[in-house]
Amino acid sequence: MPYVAEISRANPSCFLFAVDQSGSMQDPFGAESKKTKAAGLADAINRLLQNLVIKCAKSEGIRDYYYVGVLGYGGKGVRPAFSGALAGRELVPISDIGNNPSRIEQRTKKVDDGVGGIIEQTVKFPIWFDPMADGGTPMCEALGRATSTVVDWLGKHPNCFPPIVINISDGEPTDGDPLQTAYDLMNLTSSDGSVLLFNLHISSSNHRPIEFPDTEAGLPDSHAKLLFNMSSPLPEYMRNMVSQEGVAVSSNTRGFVFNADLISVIRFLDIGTRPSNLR
Amino acid sequence: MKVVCNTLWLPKKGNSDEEYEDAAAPIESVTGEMQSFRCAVADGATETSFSRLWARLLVDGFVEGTDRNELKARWQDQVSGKQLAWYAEEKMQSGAFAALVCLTLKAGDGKNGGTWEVEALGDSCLILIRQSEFIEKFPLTRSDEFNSSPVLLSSNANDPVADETMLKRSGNWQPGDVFYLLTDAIARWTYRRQEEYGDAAFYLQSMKKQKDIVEFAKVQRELIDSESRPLMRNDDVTLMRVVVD
Repeated sequence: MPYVAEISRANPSCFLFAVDQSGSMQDPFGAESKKTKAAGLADAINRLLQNLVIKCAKSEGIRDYYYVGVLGYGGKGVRPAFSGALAGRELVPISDIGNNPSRIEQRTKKVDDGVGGIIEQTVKFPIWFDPMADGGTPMCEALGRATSTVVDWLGKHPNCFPPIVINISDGEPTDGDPLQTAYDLMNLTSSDGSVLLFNLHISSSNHRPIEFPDTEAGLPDSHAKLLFNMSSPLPEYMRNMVSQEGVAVSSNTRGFVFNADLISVIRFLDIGTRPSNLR
Repeated sequence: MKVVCNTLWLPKKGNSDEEYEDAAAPIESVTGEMQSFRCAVADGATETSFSRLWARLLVDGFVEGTDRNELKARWQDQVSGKQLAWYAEEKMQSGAFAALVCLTLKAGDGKNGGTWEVEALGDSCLILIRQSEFIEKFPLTRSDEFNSSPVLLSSNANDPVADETMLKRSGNWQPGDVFYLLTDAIARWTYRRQEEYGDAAFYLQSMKKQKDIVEFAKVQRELIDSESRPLMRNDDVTLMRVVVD
């Protein structure tokens, strides 16, 4: 039975992000016309990295359960995309990520005040990745580079929990059809199962957010359908977790979201007991 | 009544003793005549920080009879004021969480036993064995009830899971009864072994010394079931045995 390998410091797993930095990411993001898709993408990946770091953090520091890479693709080709001290590095232990954000911003978020109202609270928001939008969308090349990185990782960690690759894009590749490259990536395996390729579609469409669909029928455009079709079906235990959050699932439920966040992916990762009453 | 209490423990494979996040009280062996006896085992949640401290406070607090709100305040006192990195600070604000199982034994009037009372929350369990028979399993009763997301006791003062949520059960003990307080990995192994072979009591009774549980864990963590999972999950292990006469 796949996807049962222990994730530990002795047997770490790998997270690889491929992020679209093409010129079209300069367009507005969803209904938030003041925000560009590039800014929406940067927020999404910084939030994912923040959550992954916190998941692996203990009082004494961060345990290296994961190695993480971010590949940017756009007018300057495909290259590691961390900002700050991690610039130029490809796969980085999660402790290095946590200890080396390029800066920590103060942001406000609206929270329940506990007596029926909403208050604004200042929170720390670490930044590892800045918005960028320039040139074409070499998604095929990016997935090819991701495949090389994952092949190398699997050679060194053949029994790991399968690597998870998350592609964040508006789904408009300019270097051909990425489907075959995506399939090649999804067909790589550790002894515990196939590599998981998930897609987060950042769009200018005002269409409502969509999470983990099991058919392309309700998707708003051909770009969304392309990314849906190059997304891995969710393993059974992940489907069960999605189902518990109220999403209807089937065996074809894919690791695809449209104009939504993918934070739930972090909850899929089992590194030990997680209290169900932990907020 | 005469009580003999021993605790065996070991950390998750790959972790140091300092990273062991279960706790037991008493942790040292106890033998003696007494009118009442209190003991507890807790399991700090891996995904929360300062949970080792929280587990320790919970078990010591139960044995001492300290109010749990006071324990939450002690946890807060001990973790606040530290210079923490951004991620440790954020994690600390979420609080620590732990499973807890507590046992109280009281002597009766005559020589034919007395009463026991257990309270628990989460997946640390109590088993009562009488002449190799399983008399009680609490709060979980089957191996398929264990998962990686139990409801646990939080160090947060305003957590909705309050003391009233603790599950309780009581009964009468008989001379020679043996109580086991177990954290989840070995509790689940025990339930499953009992369900499939009916001989789990033999294994529990055979673990007398630290080397026994080390050897047991080494074997059971490496044996694989039909779903490719280890027979005993790689986790901290705590086994407390309480024999009452």
